[in-house]
Amino acid sequence: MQNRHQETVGWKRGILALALAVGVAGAALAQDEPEQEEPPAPKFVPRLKYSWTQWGLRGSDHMFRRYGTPARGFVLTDLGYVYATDDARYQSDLTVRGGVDQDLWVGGGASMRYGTTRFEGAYRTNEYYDNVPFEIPISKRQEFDGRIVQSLGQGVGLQVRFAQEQKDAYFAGPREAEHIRTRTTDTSLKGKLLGGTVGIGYTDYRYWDRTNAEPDSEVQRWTAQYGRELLRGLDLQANYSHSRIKQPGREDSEIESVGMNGSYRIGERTDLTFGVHRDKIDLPTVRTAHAQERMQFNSRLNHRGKDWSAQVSYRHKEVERIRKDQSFVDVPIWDSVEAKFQTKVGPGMRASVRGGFTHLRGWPVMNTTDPNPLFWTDTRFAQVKFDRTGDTYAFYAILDHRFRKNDARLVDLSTTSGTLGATWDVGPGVSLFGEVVRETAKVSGTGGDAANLDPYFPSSISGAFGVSYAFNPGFHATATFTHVGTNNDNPMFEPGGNYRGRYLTLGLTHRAENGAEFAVTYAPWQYEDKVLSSLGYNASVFSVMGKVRF
Amino acid sequence: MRLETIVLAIGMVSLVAGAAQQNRQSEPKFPLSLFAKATEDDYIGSESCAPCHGEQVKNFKYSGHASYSNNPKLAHGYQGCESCHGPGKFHLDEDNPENIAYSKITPKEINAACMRCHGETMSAGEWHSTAHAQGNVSCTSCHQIHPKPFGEAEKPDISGASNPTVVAKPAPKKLLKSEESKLCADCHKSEAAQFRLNSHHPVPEGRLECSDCHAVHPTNKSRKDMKSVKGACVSCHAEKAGPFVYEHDMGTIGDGCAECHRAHGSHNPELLKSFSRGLCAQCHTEKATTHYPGRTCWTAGCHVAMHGSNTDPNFLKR
Repeated sequence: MQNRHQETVGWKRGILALALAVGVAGAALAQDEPEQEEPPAPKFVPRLKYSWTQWGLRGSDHMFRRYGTPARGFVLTDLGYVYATDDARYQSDLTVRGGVDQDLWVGGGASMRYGTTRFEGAYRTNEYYDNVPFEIPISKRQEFDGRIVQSLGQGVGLQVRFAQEQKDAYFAGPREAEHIRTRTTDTSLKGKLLGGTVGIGYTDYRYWDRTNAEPDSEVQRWTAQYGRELLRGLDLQANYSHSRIKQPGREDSEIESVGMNGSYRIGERTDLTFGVHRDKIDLPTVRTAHAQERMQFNSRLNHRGKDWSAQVSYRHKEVERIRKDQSFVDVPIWDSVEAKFQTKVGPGMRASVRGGFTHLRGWPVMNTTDPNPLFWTDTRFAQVKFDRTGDTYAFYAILDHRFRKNDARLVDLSTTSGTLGATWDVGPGVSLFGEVVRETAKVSGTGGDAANLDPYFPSSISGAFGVSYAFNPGFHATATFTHVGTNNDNPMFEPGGNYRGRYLTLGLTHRAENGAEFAVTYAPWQYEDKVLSSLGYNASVFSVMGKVRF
Repeated sequence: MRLETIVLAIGMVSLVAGAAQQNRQSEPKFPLSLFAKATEDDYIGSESCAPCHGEQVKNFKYSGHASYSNNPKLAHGYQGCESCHGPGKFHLDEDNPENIAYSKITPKEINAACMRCHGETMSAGEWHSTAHAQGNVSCTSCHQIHPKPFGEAEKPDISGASNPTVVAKPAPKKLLKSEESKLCADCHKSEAAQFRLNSHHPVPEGRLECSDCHAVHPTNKSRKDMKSVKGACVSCHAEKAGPFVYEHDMGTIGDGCAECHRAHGSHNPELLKSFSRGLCAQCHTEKATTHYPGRTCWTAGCHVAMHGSNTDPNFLKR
């Protein structure tokens, strides 16, 4: 009950703050309304998109509905309007999507610029189903976001923002339902000062859990930053923030951050960027291992040649970490070096090579069954990219390798992914697209249990191929085929571990000059779960869609 | 102590470098040099551009820039066409025509020109420190300054072959060249490919945009302030923010949520980096075979409060 009271009070405060800001803005406006030419008249553009879709589904409804599946039956795919001036001085929009027994999405917003003030507001609500094979309540989410931005002249601007979110989400067990409310009130002022840019801000963030499983939280955060070009070529910015986190029945937690970033132009083609940052974290309620202080320094040297550029960066990170039993402080230190080189290798051809490593010193001691550190002691990565673009084609290839190692636990984990893709405009109106991505993972160790980990790291392959043919500027056909599959030992025979999906989508679209559109889609989709066949499905999606814009 | 030492060292280096640099101060480089040497008479007004550049002048009024730069109270160098393209009189000089033609100048020059105005909210130093700036990406790589009139910009979309699962596309923002996710995918191809995997954040479905998580401009910092408490993820997944009495320590030491999740997409359920108990066992190796729950550590119904618990140190309940 108290939570609800606080929420109501919060709403009132938020509205009061917005109203106050409107008053301030209005007063400022009255004094400083620039003389401008007559604003263009707004246009009202309503639109309607309606579709009918048949799934032709045999198999698991749960898996079929999992990601971005087209809605079934007669569905209002998009009903809405935009009412706006050409120069975006005024704009409002409304969108409704949904069907009788489908997800529902309603959202709208308005923004208006009047002289030196801009008002923005948006509201969204959606109802959706979680993908479970049995009936659970419909989840619902509502968001409101409103802000006022006021120019106060002399390069100074004020922003007041108020946002609220309400989420009631239901899941399959054992995960419990979530009934979450959040509210953010944010005020910031930014402008010029002593030849630089200064900003201060205050944020009040509230979190309520209506299930009472988690404590309500209140975060109050102050921020300040100042930056200026100190000398020619040398830019420096300093920033500070302080957050206080309050939870009922517990001591307050505090996080204080101070940092400085800068860039220095050494020459016409060379510059250096650097930054140092420190967080002090006081979390008296936390009883397990946690960091109480973090410090990070990073620097990057950039050089640009005529057709190439190179970067070398170094990062140093230290963390003062309280052990789980609160008895001692560890100070693990990470040092990272990264380099990147990119160049044009010919007309329309670019290549880049990137690599780096991170090394951990001062391993923390663990108060777990195994006292060896849980963190990776060494990580390395390398990435090669190549792309070529011509008048009618584009080709790209990416190879990425990452290696992680825990010396104490004798675990090595390496992942490699390769991507090949191309587009080709074969002739007038005909274009092809293809992309293949292969990912492999391997885990090895020389002792302990590490040798048993490899089966839990599946490899995968995915590919997408498509062709589109435009008969004329308003009439075109597309055909796409997507394949996704895993190669997984899956020793516990878990569902979702070994699957193969094949999705063919054929479409025919006609678009009139006035923007009206008519489309027919046929999509035989197949998903196979090799462990639990009841999770597989065969669908023959047939869809007819009509769209008009008035 | 170490921090203070580093700050002091940086300060010293900065001062020395700055002093050295000051000794060789030079005139502003192109394109800022055009504005630096211009007098009031060199600005001839946008109406003088229309006879030759009628299409561009006509479309400029549809740009969000128009309502700002048409303000007669602004200095001449910040009004109309000349605010971006430089003084018109220089362009008309028959012997040595000079202006800022964005299709012909380098990314660095383009960015310098834009920062003349946008430096108020984003300093040059902030821009230089971004990966985009260092990768020679210019403002006009993503933004269009002369948009078509509202409602007339759309053309028949035959790109369905590259994005077959899209069910709802957000409208392109006024100053972006195209739909945001498509724009980003033009360069970040391997990231875009991850959205094809079975488990992914709903970007292809149009329910999220890249900028919901990524700060493309430093000015987005203000939007991300709240997120810095425990990374960008908790602005949507607020229930995982904590602090919890029993924290799973990832948020303060490792890569945070990315220690276990692949944000763009994964072939494993729930965007997980690896499948089933392999995820936990890559760190907790001693549990790999000796602590056999039959299913994953959480779907077995045991460690259900994996992100942190207020009641149980082993995350057995929330």
